[in-house]
Amino acid sequence: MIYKRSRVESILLYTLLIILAVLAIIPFYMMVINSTHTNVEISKSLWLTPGTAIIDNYKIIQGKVNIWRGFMSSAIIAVPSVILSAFFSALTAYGFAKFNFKGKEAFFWVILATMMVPQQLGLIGYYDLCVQLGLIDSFLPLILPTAANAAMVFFVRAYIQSSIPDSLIEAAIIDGAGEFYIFIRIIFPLALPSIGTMSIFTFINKWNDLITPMVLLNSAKKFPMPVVVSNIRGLYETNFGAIYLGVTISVIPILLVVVFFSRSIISGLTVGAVKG
Amino acid sequence: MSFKTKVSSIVVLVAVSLMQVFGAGQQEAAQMSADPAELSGKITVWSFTDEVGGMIEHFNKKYPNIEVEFVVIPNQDEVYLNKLVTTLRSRDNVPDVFTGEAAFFKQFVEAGFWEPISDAPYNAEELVGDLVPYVTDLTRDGNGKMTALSWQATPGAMFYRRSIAKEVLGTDDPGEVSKWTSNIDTYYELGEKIKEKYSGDKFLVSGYTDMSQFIFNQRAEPYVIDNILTVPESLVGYMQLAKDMRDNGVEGGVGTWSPAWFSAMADKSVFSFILPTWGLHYVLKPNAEPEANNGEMEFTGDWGLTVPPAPYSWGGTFAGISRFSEKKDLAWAFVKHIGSDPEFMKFWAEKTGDFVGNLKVVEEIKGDFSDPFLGGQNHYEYFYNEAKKIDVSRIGPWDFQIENAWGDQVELYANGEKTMDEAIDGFIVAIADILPDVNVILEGR
Amino acid sequence: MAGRNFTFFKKRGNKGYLFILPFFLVMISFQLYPILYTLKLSTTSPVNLFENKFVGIENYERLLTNEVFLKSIFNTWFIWLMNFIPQIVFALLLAVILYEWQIRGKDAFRTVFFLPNLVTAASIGVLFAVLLDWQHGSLNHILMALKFIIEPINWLSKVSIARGAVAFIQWWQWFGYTTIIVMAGLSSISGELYEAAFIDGASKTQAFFRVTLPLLRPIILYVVITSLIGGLQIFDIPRVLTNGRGAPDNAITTMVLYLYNQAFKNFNVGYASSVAYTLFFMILFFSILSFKLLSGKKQRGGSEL
Repeated sequence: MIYKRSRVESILLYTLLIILAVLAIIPFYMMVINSTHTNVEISKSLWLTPGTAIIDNYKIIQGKVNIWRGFMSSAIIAVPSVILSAFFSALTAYGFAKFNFKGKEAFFWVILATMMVPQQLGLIGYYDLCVQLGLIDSFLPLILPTAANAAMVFFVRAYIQSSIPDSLIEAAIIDGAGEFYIFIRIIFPLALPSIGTMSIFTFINKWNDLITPMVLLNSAKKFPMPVVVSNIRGLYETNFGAIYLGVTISVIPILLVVVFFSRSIISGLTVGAVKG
Repeated sequence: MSFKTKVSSIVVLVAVSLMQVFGAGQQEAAQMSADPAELSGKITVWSFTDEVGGMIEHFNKKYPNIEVEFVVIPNQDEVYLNKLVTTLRSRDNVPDVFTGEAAFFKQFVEAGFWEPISDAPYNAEELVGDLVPYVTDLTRDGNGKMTALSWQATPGAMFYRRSIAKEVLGTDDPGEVSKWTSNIDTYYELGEKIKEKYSGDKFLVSGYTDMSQFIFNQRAEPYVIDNILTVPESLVGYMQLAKDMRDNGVEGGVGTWSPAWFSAMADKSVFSFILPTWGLHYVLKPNAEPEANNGEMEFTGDWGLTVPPAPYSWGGTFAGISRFSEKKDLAWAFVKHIGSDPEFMKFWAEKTGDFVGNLKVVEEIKGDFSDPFLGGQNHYEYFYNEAKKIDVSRIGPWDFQIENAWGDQVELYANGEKTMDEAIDGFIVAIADILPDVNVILEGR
Repeated sequence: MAGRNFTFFKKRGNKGYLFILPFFLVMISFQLYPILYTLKLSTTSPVNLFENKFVGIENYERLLTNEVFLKSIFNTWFIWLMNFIPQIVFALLLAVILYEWQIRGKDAFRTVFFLPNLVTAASIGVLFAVLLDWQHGSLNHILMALKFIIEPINWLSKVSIARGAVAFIQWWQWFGYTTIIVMAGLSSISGELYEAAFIDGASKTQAFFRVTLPLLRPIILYVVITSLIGGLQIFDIPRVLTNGRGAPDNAITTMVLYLYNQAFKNFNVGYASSVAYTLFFMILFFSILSFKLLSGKKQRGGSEL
């Protein structure tokens, strides 16, 4: 804004930021470094510099599991999930944000309530349901429920409420635009920063989900990344070098998604939608 | 209808029924004793490790027309258990064969997840004579019927570093060493000697938790009888022993299965490891001397096998036919093969060095084993003798949970965080969650 | 929508029903059944792995007097507060700094802060468990090398340290996420409002408290409620740090860890389900409480909350 910082303030500021940044990166960094060391080296001491065992670790992984197939499966699950949840959450959020109907509050709390039941047990009932629907060992039950993403609805609703004035919508209605048109052409683009932000989280969630695919899928060739990585661990041995490498490989696409989407969100954030 | 027609129709009906009854019986019997090459179809096998994967090739040599789809679901985070239980409860998409581990397979037996195999058409009782008795006993359900088989028996031993023995005792001969290790008090004394000799740099055992295996086996009765849980003397003794070892630096403060436990096998800082049959090949060798294990070097022969303070059995994987399988005949072929077939057992023993569950095979091959890792010692002979001693009448389905709960309190007592009475109270609280209707008392109190 | 003659939908507000319909269809198909199934389970007790028997509210009675469960309630709240309060403070600070002030490399900072959220809690837990390990952990190595301590300290055996570690890890994993959320919220505040405030002579701090915070209310509400819902269900970190045992002496057994152990280690899904529902009502109650406390006034730029 219109404010100059003093030198001292600047230094303090940057120091704080850098300390936090280092703190945020270190465990990450250690994990990546560890994936280049052998198991024995890792258990002996803390490493800060890379080792030479990355190829060996990779060979260990490939000897036990097919990590690239896991990659594919994760993509098959995560990408459609993100698209589904982005569209339907925005739709629902808009409905709650800009329309007044009876029982709106109650409905919204119902949505919130679904987040409050611990998921660990819901899986048992969900499995039962999938058996009855004949959806075991298919990707569908992993993708479809994402259309009802409570947290995303909550967040996008809050964003729409803060940033899109009623006047904009009223103007469009007066101009004769249909509701759906308004949604697609005006609301969705304006809410994009929030949708994009939450979509990243949806992606991460789906990509890292271990238990649900493990229980709902039976074919080894459909297992997504987290399942594949956990299979690297044998019963009697834990080769940490290989495991860390598996985790690192697993994190790379998320990293790419974050960096890539970050840029488009930045432009959304800085352009700033609001006219007073 | 005329009388004649009536009679003939009745005769026909009876004949048809008889044919169905006997014909079907004959068909079944025929299938069970069919030429292996005739059994065909596809079965799914689930396990929590990839061990069974190595058995499929041999199986297919005898049964070339049975296709086996093998899926590994590690039990990390109880996922394997989770998946199995949910699947079986839904009775849908069940695997045909699945395995269970000693820690939880008794729960399977109680729930009836595995098809009882003692009687026809499986007739597993006929195999019992050849197999290690305690293994088959363990699989019996409430009606005394066997429900699973295992390719292995898992009696326990103690492995020690010969170099440390030589320096501390003057000898590395297993017989001499066992005079120190076979009794808990002399074992502790040995620990103090080791500590003295190396000024605290080396330890008797890497962590006191290693000893829990044989300690938990030192009892005559099951833990729970008629809703009363009796804590055996040996468990209370363990609590004190753990604390003494911890306080006096006789043990290294490392937890079993932790990364440091594995590396302690290689760095010569620990005298003994308490491991059973599979521990030698799957745990000790790959971690103590990985290059030699891969064939890149010779083994140093610095290890030996001796008698622990009490006999024990640890682990073991069991395979059974799933109750809701639609291909039980094929599933049985698989289970029977890996659980009893002498040719397979011989092949498996030679391939992995694991101690197999078929006594006849063991008797045949035990003389031939001389392990360079153990300086030429014959571990098979030792395990053969131990296997026959194991009594499993005291094993119950909740042992794993009970022992873990006790272990938690031992840790707190050994750390000095709780007094003995507080620890015992803590145990009682924990049991209330495991077995809510059970009362806890201490033996002799 | 086009072509419907119902006067019901003539009133614009009622079209809202149509917008939210797909969500509820999916929710009812996929999420309702498991939730009700869990409720049914909570009235059962296992006979063995395969079958259950009906026991009514016995499970609920049991948990109300269960020492470990009651302890877990305390643990969960304690850890959550220790994690959340610093988290929201940092997030607000960082968001304002990164969004409104001229900072070089702000995008890089923001991405870096977000990194901890990318990895599963399980992997992070393993790393921290190794770091804090008693005999061989790096923390002890460093402290001993720097001569701060002589003997290695068994960190995770001390109650307050164990709890602190969990709270810290949670904070570490989520502070970047919260910062980004707040930043997204900041982007919705018009710059003109600030200019107006400065013209009126407001200082930076005054602007923050009088303009920024109130307008961030929906976002802050979101953060509080989602953190509450997520935080009260914290599970992965305590489990990985202690191998599921919740050590030492259940100091970091959280409610969901307790529930999980009952379900999958002690094979009592019925009892665990009753714990889940109790937790559900607790979360619901406190969420409604937070909502009432934090919302209220209408704000400019948005519809009625």
